[in-house]
Amino acid sequence: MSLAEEEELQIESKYIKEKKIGEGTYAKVYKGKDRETGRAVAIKKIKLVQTEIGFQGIEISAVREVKVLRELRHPNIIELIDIYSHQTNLQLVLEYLDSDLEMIIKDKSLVFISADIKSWMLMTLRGLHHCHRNWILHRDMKPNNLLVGRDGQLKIADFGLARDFAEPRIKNMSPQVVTRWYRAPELFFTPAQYGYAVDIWSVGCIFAELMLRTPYLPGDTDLGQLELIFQALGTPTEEDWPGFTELSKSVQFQKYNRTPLKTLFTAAKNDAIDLLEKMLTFDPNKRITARDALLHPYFRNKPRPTAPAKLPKQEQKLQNSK
Amino acid sequence: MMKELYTETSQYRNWRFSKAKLLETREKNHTLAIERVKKKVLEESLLQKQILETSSPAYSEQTENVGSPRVNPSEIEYLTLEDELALCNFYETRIPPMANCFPKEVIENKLTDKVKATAITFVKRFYLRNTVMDYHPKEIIVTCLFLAAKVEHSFVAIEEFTKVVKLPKETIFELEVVVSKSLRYEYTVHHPYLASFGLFLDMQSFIKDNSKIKFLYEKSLELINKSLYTDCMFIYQPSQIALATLRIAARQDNFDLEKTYLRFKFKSDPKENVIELYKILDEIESIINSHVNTTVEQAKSIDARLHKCKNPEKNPNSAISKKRRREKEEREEIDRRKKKKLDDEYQKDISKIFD
Repeated sequence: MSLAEEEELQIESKYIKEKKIGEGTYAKVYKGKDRETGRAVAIKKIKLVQTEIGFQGIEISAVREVKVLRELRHPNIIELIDIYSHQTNLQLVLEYLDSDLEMIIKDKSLVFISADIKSWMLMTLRGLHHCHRNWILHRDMKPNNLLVGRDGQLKIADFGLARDFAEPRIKNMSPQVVTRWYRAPELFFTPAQYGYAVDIWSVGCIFAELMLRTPYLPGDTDLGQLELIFQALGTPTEEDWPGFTELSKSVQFQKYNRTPLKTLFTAAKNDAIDLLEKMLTFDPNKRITARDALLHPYFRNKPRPTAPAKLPKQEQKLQNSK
Repeated sequence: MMKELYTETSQYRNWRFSKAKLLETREKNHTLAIERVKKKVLEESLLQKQILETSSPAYSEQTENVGSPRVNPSEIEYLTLEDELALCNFYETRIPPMANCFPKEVIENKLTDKVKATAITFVKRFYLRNTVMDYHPKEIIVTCLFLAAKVEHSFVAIEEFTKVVKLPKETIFELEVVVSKSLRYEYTVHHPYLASFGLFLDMQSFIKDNSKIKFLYEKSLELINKSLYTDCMFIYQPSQIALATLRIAARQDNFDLEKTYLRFKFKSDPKENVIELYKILDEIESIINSHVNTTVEQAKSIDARLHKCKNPEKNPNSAISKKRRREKEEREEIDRRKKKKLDDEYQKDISKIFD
């Protein structure tokens, strides 16, 4: 046995799978633990997917996720602890977190104060800034992908759609990314290139959802999504978004006037409204960056963000409830 | 800040060595490999002897003795570390020509310089932890090109791939996992191209002659491609290699880069840092300039010797592989019987309840 093979057998024997906790299109997720330390882990077993182009070896999404997570280390990004494989079947050992922001938002027994929202936003943007400064786009930011641990720390997860964008001329960028409700407007116009701004738009939608306690722009078709965005934020003019007339020439959109965000987000302070507006800016070139968002007065003004450990969290579920 | 970021990459953390450490790593890997393969060769020769002696018809039918040469194990001349490196180098240089056999559209859009460079890097990293006696580079280079395209978002479907390369897709899939394991699934590779593009832009604020800048940039890209066959990628940072190749390009063109660009660029840096950097640039320059690739004749001669000292365990037709398969089947049969016995007992217990 070669060095690499031996090393991998050792890794595999370190973990034990306990029960299945989820299944997606390309992976099954198990809860498990480290035999020695007892540390809870999530083991993501990548399925062998027969796509329409037939079996292609190691799953491409798995390669993307692993490629990105092997490089990123940050308190607000999920940690990839180990990897091993059976034949072409990759198994990712990730840190285990038992809750996510979607569950927390939906749990109506929890009351959020504005300092809580600020804390979740801060952790989300810190994690995202780390991705962006490493030239990595997440491309699927949504509450469901923001995991929350017992200690209240929020961690960005699910990098199956992530990609790096460092090259001066990137090709082959697919606009079919990001779950629709959180998808930036430029992505509906099949651009060949886009950038970090798509992630910021999603974070803006999440910010709004934290304040409203319900999805902000829940469109049910691609066109309906754009309608909804324009209803909420006004149909952009050429001035709002240079190039918009050219982009949208095939579809005639109704002209909606912009209603000030303040009318919907009545409880929000001016600094929160200002940051939200800067994240939901139509022109991707003018949309705020993760770095500038972190430097925004919203995070310096009172109230101070709640300490993670003191954030509202769901009751610990009984051991055998699942 | 940029330097700090680079130090977080897996390339910096796990694939960067001093010259001495690189040699030590390779020597250790090579020594262990030889020891391991020697044992297997001995076992194979004993098995074959046994088979010959027990001239049972069932056995002789199975033993076609493929690929395991009839030599005394103690007389086998194993490859040296230098042989292994030279052979790998030869096959690494085959990657660009192989990529250029694809249809024009695939070459332009998918199998770019970056993908080829990643493939070459994968091969070089792979053999830091493996031996050509286990895995022949002619198969590894194909696998690494397939995997590199996947990793660099330039995926080429396996059907299209196997139209050009002569390797069954099952082998590629199998080796893709072997390669991934050896790379520790660290798929991100940083090349000097991006830094080189940065220098290309930066030079434009200092040097008036744009055609000269373009010429130097293109020359430096060629030199970066050449540097991929050296150990530079293990020892120096991509930005250092980019700057070194630009300097070589200027020198070959009798263009004074120092007076026109470098001295302005490093004006505000502490003098000792600049001296240190120039020392590094000189080292890279000498490595690239003195590098000579393995010739076909040299590769053929090493390949011929390799044929005699391959690990028989990796040959599915060897006696040792057959024995392994038989052992595995036996183990599985025992497990099956055990399970059946347990099941039967369980059924018996259950039926008793209803008696």
